[in-house]
Amino acid sequence: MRTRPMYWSVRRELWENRSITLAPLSVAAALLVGFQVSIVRQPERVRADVLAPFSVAAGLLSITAFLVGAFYCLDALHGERRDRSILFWKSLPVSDLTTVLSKASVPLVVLPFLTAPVVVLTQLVMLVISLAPLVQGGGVASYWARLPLFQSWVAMLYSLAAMALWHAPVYGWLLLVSGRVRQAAFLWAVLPPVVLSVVERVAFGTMYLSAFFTDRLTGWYTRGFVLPRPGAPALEPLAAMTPVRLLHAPALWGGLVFAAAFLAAAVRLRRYREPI
Amino acid sequence: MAAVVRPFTWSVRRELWENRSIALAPLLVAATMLIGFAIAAVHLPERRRAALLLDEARQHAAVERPYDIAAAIVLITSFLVGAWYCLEALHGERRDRSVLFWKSLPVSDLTAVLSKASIPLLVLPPVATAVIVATQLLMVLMSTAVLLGSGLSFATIAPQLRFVPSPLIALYAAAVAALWHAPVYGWLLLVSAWARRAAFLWAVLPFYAAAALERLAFGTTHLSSFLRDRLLGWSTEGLSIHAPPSLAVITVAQLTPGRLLASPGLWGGLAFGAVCLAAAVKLRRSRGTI
Repeated sequence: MRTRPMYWSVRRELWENRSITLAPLSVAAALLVGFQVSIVRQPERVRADVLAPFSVAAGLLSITAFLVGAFYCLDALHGERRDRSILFWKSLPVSDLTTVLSKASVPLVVLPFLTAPVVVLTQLVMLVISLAPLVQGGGVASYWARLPLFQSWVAMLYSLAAMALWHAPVYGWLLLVSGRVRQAAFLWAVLPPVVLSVVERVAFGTMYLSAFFTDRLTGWYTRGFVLPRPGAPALEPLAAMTPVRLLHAPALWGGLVFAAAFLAAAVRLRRYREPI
Repeated sequence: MAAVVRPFTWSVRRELWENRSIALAPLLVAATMLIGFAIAAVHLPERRRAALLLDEARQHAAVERPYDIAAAIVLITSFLVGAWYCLEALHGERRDRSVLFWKSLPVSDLTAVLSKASIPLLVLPPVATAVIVATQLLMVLMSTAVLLGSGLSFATIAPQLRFVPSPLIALYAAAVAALWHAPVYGWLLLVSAWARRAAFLWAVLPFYAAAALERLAFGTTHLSSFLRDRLLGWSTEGLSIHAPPSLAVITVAQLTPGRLLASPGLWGGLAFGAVCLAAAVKLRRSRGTI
């Protein structure tokens, strides 16, 4: 009889934090309402650029996933110490490694796999509600031809994976802070990068640190895709992907090493830390 | 002995005891800034000699910039501390069940919520002002000592001392920012009293979803520029800065309290903040522990 502690740990995280599923779904609902309104009010604007609302929806849902993941990590190891439930969870035969890994897997594995179907469903519903009003002004075939949905789904899967890998050190850092501090986890997580960037600016007149921290947030896009040039027509979603360049970036692998180090430190901390 | 209990004063003091970061975070940030300024002071004499050759406006901007950066980072820190504090204030006590103890005391929910709201509105602005003024004073002393040590005469340095921003500006900026951000703090306190979990997401997600809806529905970004104005509007309404950013200097003459007080955004924000606080008081009464 196998107990599968990792599997059940992840499931408990999902039970305890409904926001992991609710937040993407509510943003998707808002997007659908917005799209419906735009179709009723300004069908000609939607017809002019059929792909744009679909890309906006996918982009905004990915950002939601990042926000949910970041704030989940910041609370994950802090909250259980604060409400003393850590005493119960530690009494179970589940190792600290399993617990921390199950928490880390929420932003790294669960959220991407949850966001992808939400994006696909949202876009399918958008497609259905836009078919009738838009097709009146042209054929279904021409509408479909201008809407490379399958391609954009592949690009979306790729960018979700790239985001998760690229942001792994961010989540690791947030988990570490969450396991380390007694209070003000948010301040401990945010202030050091901001203050260090400003101090570097004052001390040396350079902006390397702020560029570095910005790259830690956006680098998956600047390296993983060909950036659209102003004026030039947008590339097809698949043609814009540059996975090899992303995998060649030392920053990706360095970030993953840092993420592993942060997680290892968080595991050690959880062993010795007690309720606050 | 007159037994005046003063529950409000003691409620505020307990918040300060419980949340050391209210005072510590601005101090730590200012100390880090001073270290950065000390490192930059190594090359200060050369830069100051180069600045002496510039016209007065550029000289002014060059001298003033580090002081402005120091003030700005302390103000940003104080906003972050206030926002984090409000989001945590009514949520944390329910989560660790200490709300049961605090409610057993003869302190009304109104006093408790107002004492929590007074931290970002009344406590943090003076703290930020004091930290900014002390930091700028230390920066003046440090740079004067370095410049004198490098062989520049006091007569050469003295005229540039008037480019150091007046402490009044720090006081004004801290007070105006607190007033302008009052609805933000009120909203965060309300979410903190209401949400069972994920208070930050509840605070941010409605606006994010509404902005997403507007973007898709009308292709416009009015809501996100409104939200940006809610965060930064105090500086555009309360200061008049005409020069390009590279030369932006702030003198007392550029403070425009009249325009700020006449802006409907300020009063609308204060009204919204008051509504949020009233709702937070009612919620604290009815909600138990999580």
